[in-house]
Amino acid sequence: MAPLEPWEKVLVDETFAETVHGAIACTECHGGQQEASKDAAHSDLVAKPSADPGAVCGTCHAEVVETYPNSLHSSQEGYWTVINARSTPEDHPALEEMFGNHCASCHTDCGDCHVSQPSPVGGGLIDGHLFNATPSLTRNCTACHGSRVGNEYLGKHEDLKADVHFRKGRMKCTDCHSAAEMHGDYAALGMEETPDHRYAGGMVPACTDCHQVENMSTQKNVVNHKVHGQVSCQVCHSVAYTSCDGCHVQVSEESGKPYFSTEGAYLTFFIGQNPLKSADRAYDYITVRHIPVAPTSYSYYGANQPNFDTLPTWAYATPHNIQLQTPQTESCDSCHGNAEIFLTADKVSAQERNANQSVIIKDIPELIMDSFGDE
Amino acid sequence: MRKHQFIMYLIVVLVLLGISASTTPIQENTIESPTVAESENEVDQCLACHTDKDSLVSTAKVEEAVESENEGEG
Repeated sequence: MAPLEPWEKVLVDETFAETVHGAIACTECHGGQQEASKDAAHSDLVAKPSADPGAVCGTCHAEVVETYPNSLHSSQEGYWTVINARSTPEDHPALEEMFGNHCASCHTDCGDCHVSQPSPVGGGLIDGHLFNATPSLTRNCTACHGSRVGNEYLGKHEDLKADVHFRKGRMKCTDCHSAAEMHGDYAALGMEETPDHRYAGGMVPACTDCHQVENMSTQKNVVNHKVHGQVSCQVCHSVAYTSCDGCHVQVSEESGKPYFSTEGAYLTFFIGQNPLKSADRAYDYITVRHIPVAPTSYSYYGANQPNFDTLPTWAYATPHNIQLQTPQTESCDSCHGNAEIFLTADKVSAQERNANQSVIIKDIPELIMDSFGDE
Repeated sequence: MRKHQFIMYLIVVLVLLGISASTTPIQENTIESPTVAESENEVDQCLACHTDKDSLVSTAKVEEAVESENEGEG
């Protein structure tokens, strides 16, 4: 995404005044003064009114503002769930400082999705201050979720096709990820508790929201899907996706600004055991990707992770590069008896083996001397 | 005769309907709405500048180029 020029970030479309939001005086949301000179007009200016959504957006969108603090985009609770699990309370002051420097900027408010590019990627009006009920796939969603989801979904990895939902259907993120999910209205999604992680609570969205096994086109498809009910959809319908190693965060001695460095990013495809098995995610087998956490990720801040082995570093993953035909769907033996695509102990570094006991496959499914063949 | 009676009856009905409509109370909008934009005669200084590309180009502060020190995938 090319950065916007400073003037481009604040250029308002001439038709804005004719819209619903354009009927509201600029100063009502942005403060400032109705003055001709820039300095006078910008005194007490609020550049980003939705930083306090209750005071501005909530005037009309009270029901959204009420549930939004529950949203993981707002609370960032998913980060704290894993940070807390790997650390002890003694390290929390240091971890809070780290979080403030490196993670908190990903907090998202109403304007980051509905009128501007997200602040962490430089901000700037998307459409001349016209409000978009549906966020832009590339200028909002993958502006932040780019290096994994965006690259996979849009087919930016060499020799790997874009996700079929994008390639064939030009589907946007919001076609699956509903407003209720994004706005933290989990009760509307049938969840009794607010999830503290993106894989906590009900499976929202689920492939079966659209793809019902009973409605598969052929009897063979129905049988194959019923037989593999203990396998997540991605195990058969995903292709290689990004894994990352060793992220470390610190503050630059030169500029005084926080920065990160990761040791490596590479494509993998591994099937692991499901470490989050529940009624909602009853699968035995799921796809896993290496996440960039390391025991020394926060050492700069003096924060240790004494419980590092509590969570796997090969984490439950839902790659966004779904294909109808994949190497796994070619024959039964693409997976059965094929140790290469399973996360076995030999593929996990010795220092991370304890952390990954819940995902490492001990016994790969037995070889089946058969193939799916033709109808 | 019957025709005249019918016309008179019709006129009376129409007059009564007219009176009824004019006396129906108009509900007041009690929803508090945000301050609306300037009236048509007044110039909205904010929009006047922010819809004028040339004006924004000439008054925009040059942003200091920030070289990212991040290394690797985020």
